[in-house]
Amino acid sequence: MKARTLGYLVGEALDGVRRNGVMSLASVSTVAISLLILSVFAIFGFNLQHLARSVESQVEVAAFLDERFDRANRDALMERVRALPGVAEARYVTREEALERLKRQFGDQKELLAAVEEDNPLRDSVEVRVPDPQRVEAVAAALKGLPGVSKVVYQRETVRRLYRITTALRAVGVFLAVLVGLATLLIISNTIRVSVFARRREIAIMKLVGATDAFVRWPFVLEGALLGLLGALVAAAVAWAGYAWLAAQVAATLPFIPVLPPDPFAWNLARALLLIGALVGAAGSVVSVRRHLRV
Amino acid sequence: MVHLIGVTKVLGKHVALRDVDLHIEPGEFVFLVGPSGAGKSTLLRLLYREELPTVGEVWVNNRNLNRLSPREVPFLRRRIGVVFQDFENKLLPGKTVFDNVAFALQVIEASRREINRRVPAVLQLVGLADKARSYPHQLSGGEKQRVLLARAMVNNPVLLLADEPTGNLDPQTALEIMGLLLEINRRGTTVLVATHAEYIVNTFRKRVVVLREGCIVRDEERGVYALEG
Repeated sequence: MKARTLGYLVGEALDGVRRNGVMSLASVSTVAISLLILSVFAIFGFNLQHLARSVESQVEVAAFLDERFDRANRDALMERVRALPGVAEARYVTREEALERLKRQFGDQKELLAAVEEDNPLRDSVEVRVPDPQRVEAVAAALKGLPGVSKVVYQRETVRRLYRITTALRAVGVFLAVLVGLATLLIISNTIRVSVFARRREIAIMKLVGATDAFVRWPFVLEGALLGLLGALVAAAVAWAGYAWLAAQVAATLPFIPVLPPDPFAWNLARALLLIGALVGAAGSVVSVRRHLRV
Repeated sequence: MVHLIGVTKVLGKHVALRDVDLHIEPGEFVFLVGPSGAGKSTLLRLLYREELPTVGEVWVNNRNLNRLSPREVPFLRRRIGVVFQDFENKLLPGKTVFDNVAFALQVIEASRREINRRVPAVLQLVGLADKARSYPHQLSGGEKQRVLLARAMVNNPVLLLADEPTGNLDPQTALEIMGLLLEINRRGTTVLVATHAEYIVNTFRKRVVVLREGCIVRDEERGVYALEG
């Protein structure tokens, strides 16, 4: 394609956006809102998955020790724990350490901490990491049988629940993405239909004097892609800024919840939105041009 | 240049053309006459492949249009100029005379240089050199039809089709437009004019093909307007 032709086609597409002012605006806003809804789901979904992963990679099994456990037996106990099949790592956590950890997590709630600090209710524990989820149950049972162990807690259920939610969210997200895609396709193809109608005389002349079908179609396809891209630009900007703010808020107030860092997550999200917008826009006009432009 | 061989065209339930044979040699000037609904417009539409025949073959410029793929149609049309009766609806109101004519070259990706060379020349030919900067609403009916002619001619077509080109014009202006069509023909383009303006046909004494109810009932060199065979 000649550069001058490309210039002409892009010019025609821009002209179409301008000429259909209100319709174009409606399309751009619909695209923007649709993609924003999609972004909210993507943000929650990906973060939940991130959360599930980090929970999973943290302590998986914790064995709380009896109050009467004598720390003199600590090394012997640890040796037996480490010898269990499936255990990758084991760490002895004293009740003082556990309290420190609690303080970090609930740093702001002073009254609660004061009550706890007065008489530390926590026990010594052994934290065990089991990389193979299949073995967690067996390790937990074995730990329970060790002398001095009073209670075994493992987070498999939590992790499993988080993954269930992630899976559900992903399904809803995909469903929503399809729905949003269809809505966007529809509004853009309708806008292009109006644009085709507004230019029916030009189109008739172009066909009469021997313009190729591609030449007749391209400005409309570009116009649709442009509308999609503009809508996506709005959505991407809002999603990016919104996420950066949200991530900062979470980091400041709920530091123990791991969130995906805005760089690169928000950037990737914005990039994906732009791509989706342009592609769906172009697809919408192809649908419309096929139906209303029998060239 | 144009060959119709046993062409029948059915539009819905109506038979627009019935077993038509017609041969036009390069460089000819032919009037296609007959009452409204005789099939004149349908015949022209077959020639620029707006329609395909129901039965029979249509050849234009050595191409069998039945066998032309959709991709080739634009390139056929670049060799054919077409003008209509309703010139009001065939011009772009937002463009000047120059740009209306240039549009036909732009959309087939002609270079800027070619446009600047060919548009003034063709405006000169139709006598509108001084109206290049005017807009359609500033022109008379005859001038608008000249713009259409300029646009049809700017590609140097081998065949010019005119469907009632003078239908909306007063007799004096109509004769001027016809004079222009003859001039175009003298320069080598084959011209086919569908009309039911008797005085025009009788003035120019060219080949006359008479259509009635979809059939060719008369075909005569240097003919006059007579609908009976």
